[in-house]
Amino acid sequence: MDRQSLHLGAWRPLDGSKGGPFRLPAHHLVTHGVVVGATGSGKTGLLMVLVEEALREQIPVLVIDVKGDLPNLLLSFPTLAPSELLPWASAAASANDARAHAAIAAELAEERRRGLAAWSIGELELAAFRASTSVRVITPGASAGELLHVLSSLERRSDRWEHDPESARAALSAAISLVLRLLGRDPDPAKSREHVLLSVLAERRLLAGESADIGVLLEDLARPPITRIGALELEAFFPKRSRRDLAASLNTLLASPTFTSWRQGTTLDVGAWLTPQGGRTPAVVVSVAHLDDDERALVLGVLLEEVVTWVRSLPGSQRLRALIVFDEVYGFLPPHPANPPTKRPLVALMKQARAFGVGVVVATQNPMDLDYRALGNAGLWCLGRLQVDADRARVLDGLALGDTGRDDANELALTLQRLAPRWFVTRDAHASEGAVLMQPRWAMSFMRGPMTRAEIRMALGHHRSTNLEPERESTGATNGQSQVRHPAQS
Amino acid sequence: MSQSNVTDVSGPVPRFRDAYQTLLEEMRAVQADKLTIVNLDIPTAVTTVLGALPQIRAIRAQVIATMPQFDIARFDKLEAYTLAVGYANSLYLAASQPSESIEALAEAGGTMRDLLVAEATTLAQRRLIDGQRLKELKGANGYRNLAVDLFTLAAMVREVWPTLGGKTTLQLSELDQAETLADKLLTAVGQREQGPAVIATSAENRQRAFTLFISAYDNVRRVVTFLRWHEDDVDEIAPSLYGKGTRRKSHDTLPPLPAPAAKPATSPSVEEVQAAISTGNGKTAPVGVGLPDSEPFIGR
Repeated sequence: MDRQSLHLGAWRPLDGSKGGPFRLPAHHLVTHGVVVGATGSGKTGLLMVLVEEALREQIPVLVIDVKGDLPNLLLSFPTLAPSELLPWASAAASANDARAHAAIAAELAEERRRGLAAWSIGELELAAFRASTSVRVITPGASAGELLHVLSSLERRSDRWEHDPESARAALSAAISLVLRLLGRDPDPAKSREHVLLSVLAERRLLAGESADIGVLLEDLARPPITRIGALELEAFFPKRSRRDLAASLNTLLASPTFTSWRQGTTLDVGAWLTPQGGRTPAVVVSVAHLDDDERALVLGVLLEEVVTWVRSLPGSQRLRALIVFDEVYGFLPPHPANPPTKRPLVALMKQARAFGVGVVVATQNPMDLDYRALGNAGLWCLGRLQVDADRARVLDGLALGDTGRDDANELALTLQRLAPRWFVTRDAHASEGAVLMQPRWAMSFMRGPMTRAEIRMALGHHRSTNLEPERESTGATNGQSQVRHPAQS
Repeated sequence: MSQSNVTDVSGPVPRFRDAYQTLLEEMRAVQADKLTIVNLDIPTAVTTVLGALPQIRAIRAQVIATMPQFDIARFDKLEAYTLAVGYANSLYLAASQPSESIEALAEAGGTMRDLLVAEATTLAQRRLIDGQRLKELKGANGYRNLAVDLFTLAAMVREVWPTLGGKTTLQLSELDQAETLADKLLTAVGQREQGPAVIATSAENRQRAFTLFISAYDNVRRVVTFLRWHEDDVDEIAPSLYGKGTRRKSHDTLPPLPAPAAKPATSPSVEEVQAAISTGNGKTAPVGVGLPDSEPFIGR
């Protein structure tokens, strides 16, 4: 029997009368969750508490951060001392606050102490949390955190080709789709001739124990080592002139300085990321706040395809094995007919990951933008204040309140309109109580708000030095593998 | 207000639509990363601002006199922005409404198809129509197939109608009805398929109109706050659209107040206003937010 439970905060009945502590059995999250609320309703705070509680229960977490807030997880200081907050005092102060930073930090520390004490969290709990968790921040295309080699399943040969060729092939397919999208060509693995040709050429090398970096594929395009694809002669399937065009496009991409940063850093290996090391439960934050919309969709598409591949390689489980959290999913899981690269893997995760014990929690301020398949698969709903009629109607549809009657739906809509910040109407499909009010506890991590790249760099440095965690350097050297250096070696 | 103003109902609708049309270019020019999320009930916001416009216009002269550098043209366009967002919202709501139920149309269409097939089969047996064409019917599965069959069957019977005389119980009105059902069915299917795209476009237009509106009204509220600081009646002249007591502390990150050309003796300095907003003075910041005993509802 799974006894893990997440102490998210407090609950009350919908009329606001007395309730009690809110404990969510962790395995309820295998049927996924949706957090919806207007700006300022406290969605990010709730997600942070959810992540912290999962980590406290030794459940690894992969966080996808679009807005820049969730690297705040690095700010889970082990003490309540004002000195911890000193580097963040100027960022937290208003523009015309003339006080010394020490005074501001002292005030922030006191506010933090009072807020956490109200939820029975003191330095003991903070230190235990910090000692048992390991936070990584990965920033694809930027060196603020760890760089990410988004084409690693293409350019770095994985052992999976020996023991799980199907999942290796799926990851390869996603990487080739990304390359073709960057080239402005058809990325569909089932229809695109380019995709088929590059897949065949790459797989041939990977199965032979070699890597298949783009430079090598260029040579293969110029002097193909194969004569047939499927039942057709190569020349009939993909004539020489077309191959030359494709090679020229690939070469332009290869020569682009921007593209270079996508081919350096940590290998995209979700299984390895989420494996506890040194007794610490990992939280991996992939932050794409610094990228533009197209880049975000491309990178997250590849990342999520890799997550799907990893999930499918797991044995079945009814307990929550890992949690995937996606803040600000707006635009990445839209209704038909929009189809960004992130949609297919997200829908697949929400439909299939439960069998493997992997929960997905998405948050958005715009429920109109969510695909109905994602809404329909969510077992946990946390609804913050919603002021727009259509948004309220959409989430009430998603809650499938048809069986409980229109009066209940109307009452719930009114409740959503009146909710104070940091309060949510929560409905857990596994619980018998129906909808209740839920107030997340104070987050252990200091909620600084969206972090700049410089701040992420500073926070990572401080986190590693105080946690005695190994430093992961993205060298971008010849093989591009992450290098690990322990602070004691520095 | 004169009687003619009260009874004149010809103005409002074109007024909303005209404002929307006039501002279309400006709306389209709003950059995607500057769009504001719609976080208000727009009809309520529109009625609030339209109701406040006379009081707001009353301080126009004072704005010009005190702040010659203030963008008065934008101030003057507040009404247009308000009307435009009202119209954009109605377009969005119209696009979001479910069209005529496909299921109901399909049920009626199916019944009509059965009737026409039965009659056409009889007529084919009498060699009054070509029986081969009946075999080419697509079947009742699928809305499109059903609509195409209705059109085909109605056309087959119409072609031979003059020769049928009294050999059928069908009425011409039933053929009309079959064609109408087919037409409605295809339209409903098309709307269902295009619906999300139409909704997405109207939602984006609404968001663009809302961005212009909320930005203009915020500006007006800031200037009223500045000019009427000592009277403390900003909410009477330009009421907050977010309700009392819910103003977020993050307002201290709003752009600076417009600087006056000459500092009025009766008004506080820009710094004083900003300081008062940033500290909140305990007037608007909810007490104990995030603590276990905080109120779950606003305004209790």
